[in-house]
Amino acid sequence: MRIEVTIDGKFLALSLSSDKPLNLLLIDEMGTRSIRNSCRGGMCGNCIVLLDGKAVLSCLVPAFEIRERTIMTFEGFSRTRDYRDIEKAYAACDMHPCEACHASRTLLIESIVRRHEMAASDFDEAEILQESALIDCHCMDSAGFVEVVREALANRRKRKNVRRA
Amino acid sequence: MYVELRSPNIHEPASMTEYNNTIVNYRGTTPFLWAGGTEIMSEPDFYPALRGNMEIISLDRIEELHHFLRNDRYAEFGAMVSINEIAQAGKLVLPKILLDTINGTATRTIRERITIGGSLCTRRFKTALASTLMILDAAVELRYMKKRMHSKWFQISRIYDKDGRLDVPAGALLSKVRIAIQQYDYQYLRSVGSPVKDPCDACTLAMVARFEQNSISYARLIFTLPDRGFCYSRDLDNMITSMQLPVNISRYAQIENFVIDHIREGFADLSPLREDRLRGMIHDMIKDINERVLSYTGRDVDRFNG
Repeated sequence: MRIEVTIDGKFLALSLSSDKPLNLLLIDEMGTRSIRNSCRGGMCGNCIVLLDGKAVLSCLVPAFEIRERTIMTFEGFSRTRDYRDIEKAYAACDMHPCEACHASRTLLIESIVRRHEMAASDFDEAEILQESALIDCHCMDSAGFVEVVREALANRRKRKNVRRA
Repeated sequence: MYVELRSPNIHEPASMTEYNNTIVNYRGTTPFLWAGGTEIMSEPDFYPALRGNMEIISLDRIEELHHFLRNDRYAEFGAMVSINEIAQAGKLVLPKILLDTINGTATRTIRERITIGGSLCTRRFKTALASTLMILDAAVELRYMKKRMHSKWFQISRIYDKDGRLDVPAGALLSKVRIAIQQYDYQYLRSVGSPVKDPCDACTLAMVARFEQNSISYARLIFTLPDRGFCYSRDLDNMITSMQLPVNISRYAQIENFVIDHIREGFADLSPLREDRLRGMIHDMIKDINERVLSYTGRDVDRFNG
């Protein structure tokens, strides 16, 4: 099956099996190193990428669903200015995720920040706590995760000069 | 590594008419109907697939399956509406127990990919969402092929057999789900364990009830055992409605035993962990009913809805 897709800003035309999971596609075709394929769909949460700006577990996305869509992996995201907001938040809260989950956690935070950066109300803390359970790694506690999200959101709003009601 | 594998054919009909044509063209084969894909993709042997000549019909581009509408009596959702959209769209009108079930299903990132149609048609495990919809008397529209395409509405409980397996005509498509808009005096949901990671020991209890002074006038109770199916019956409902409230603490064990025996009769055996969990759930539920009844003044019905 021929698939046209934009990965990390590069427009690509790939020929591959239509049911191939996105994480394997990224590992095999793109040589992406930030994604892990340890659970094979078991929802360990270590293969998060941004699909059209939203976090998804790439092991649950088949190749035929990414046609004409935009994918951002951690490799691509870490070269953007948006990444600096999250990096600063990690430093400000003195919370640093381990090497295994750093990429996925960062992309998950980015997805949450994008969802809330223009919102007038504050985010639902219970929902963020639940989101933190998506990544099956205990290097960062849930309260710490919420703190980092809050800090990253503040950084983003400050940088983009978002005025809230 | 997977170069020699045959890539499955993907059909992406854009309307129900195109879907019908696809089904007619592939009559005799059993195509995969692809909704959100969360369950299929999490099967350990999904990729590389061992099945040859696989035909996948992706339902994502069928506009009709993404619609939802609401009137005074019910809300109707297309099968491809994600459960997260349902929770957001129906926040103010849908029964609280349904919203709690959806919010407890998974994190928002996963919920955005789970569709309501897909979660009712899972094969490996049964979801709490299906059981909650059963006690809320939800109905589904099935489209299936005889000589031509038919559509018919069924109560959700009628699309499963007694073991909780999906029992619909081959190639049938679950196209819509209709949920009555009504609130209950009492709604209780308790879930333990993950149906995906721990299907053998996970269990869920859901109950809705209406009170009348010191008794329960209407009750629907259902247990979900993800690997076995659903346990609900008139006997359990009658047992709840016959309870004198508040329930005396000496009767707790009696009720627990009755329910556990009833589940055993339906599902053969329960693991010790699952039995403990079920006993705990029943105990907590009766305690919760007692608390609500003892604090009920008869005026503020909303207090029962938490």
